[in-house]
Amino acid sequence: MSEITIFEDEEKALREAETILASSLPEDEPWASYYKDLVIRYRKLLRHTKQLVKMGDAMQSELARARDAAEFQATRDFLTLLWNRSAILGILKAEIARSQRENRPLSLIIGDVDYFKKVNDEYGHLVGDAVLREISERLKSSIRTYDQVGRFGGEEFIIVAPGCASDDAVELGERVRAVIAENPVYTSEGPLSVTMSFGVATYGCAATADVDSLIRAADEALYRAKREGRNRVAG
Amino acid sequence: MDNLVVEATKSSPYISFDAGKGLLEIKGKSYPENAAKFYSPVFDWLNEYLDTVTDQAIQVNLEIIYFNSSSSKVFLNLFDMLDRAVKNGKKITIDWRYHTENDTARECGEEFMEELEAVKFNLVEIHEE
Repeated sequence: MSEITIFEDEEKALREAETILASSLPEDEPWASYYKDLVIRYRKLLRHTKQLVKMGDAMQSELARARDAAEFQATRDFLTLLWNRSAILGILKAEIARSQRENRPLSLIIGDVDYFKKVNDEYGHLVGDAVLREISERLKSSIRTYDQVGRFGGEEFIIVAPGCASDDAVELGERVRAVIAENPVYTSEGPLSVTMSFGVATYGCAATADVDSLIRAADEALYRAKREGRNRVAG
Repeated sequence: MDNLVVEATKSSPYISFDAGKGLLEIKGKSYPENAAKFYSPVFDWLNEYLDTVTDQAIQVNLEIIYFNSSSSKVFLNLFDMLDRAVKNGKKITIDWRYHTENDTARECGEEFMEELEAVKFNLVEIHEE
């Protein structure tokens, strides 16, 4: 454990008291033995205090680490380490409130991996998992820094894009779609070409918008993208 | 002399002091609301025991995963008491047991060890099965 240095004043006081103790104190004065006793107690108390502070600090750091780890586990998707469903919904809710307050648009993009069931069926779940992880990396690297991405469940992902109007959101979705489609995903079963379809919903400044209506709108757009042939963005 | 057994709660450890075997164990977490009150029966028992025991070897096992500041002060007092008992001729060994991955518990054990002069104090690493 690192040395505690917050007791410099007390250390100094102890050194001074010990200096006085080392000089000759009158032996037959009651206060002198009382003083000596006090110095001994003070020395011990200071030593104990430093030990207790050190141990308390260590325990508190340990608790903070445990709390951080628990929070991470509670908010992340275990496979992809993206935000999990409840965390990204929480973020969406907060961003809706913020965009209402600041009167700024907010877009939601729902993406779904095309024919993902086939990947699992043909190559097995381990390959499927590897594909989801690679897609997650590409999603993370292609969004803007203030966008948030989460795994909504299965092969469905959500991007929350604050301040993003409809056109910008479609453009963002298009960029993400291209990053997924332009290079195959390299797996233990060889390179697999993977594409995704995206549905975009934008909340302008209508006060009626809520989490459910935004998700419903993005979902409807996603199904349109699927119907129109997949590997595309519908807004 | 009766044994002392206190069952663990969410915030306090399991305590088992066996006078016949000379085995004193405290195990678990220790952050009771009032540490002085919680441990006072322990000190009462120990005082009586140390008064009666003669040449029996006493083994003290402590396995505390997490403890608050009040508890660490209580442990300092406990070790102080045991240290004095050894200086008065008792045979006491303290094992401070900690799990491999619990660096904090190990560091705290080292901290307690520095405080002791006479009593034998071992840091014992427990490996997960």
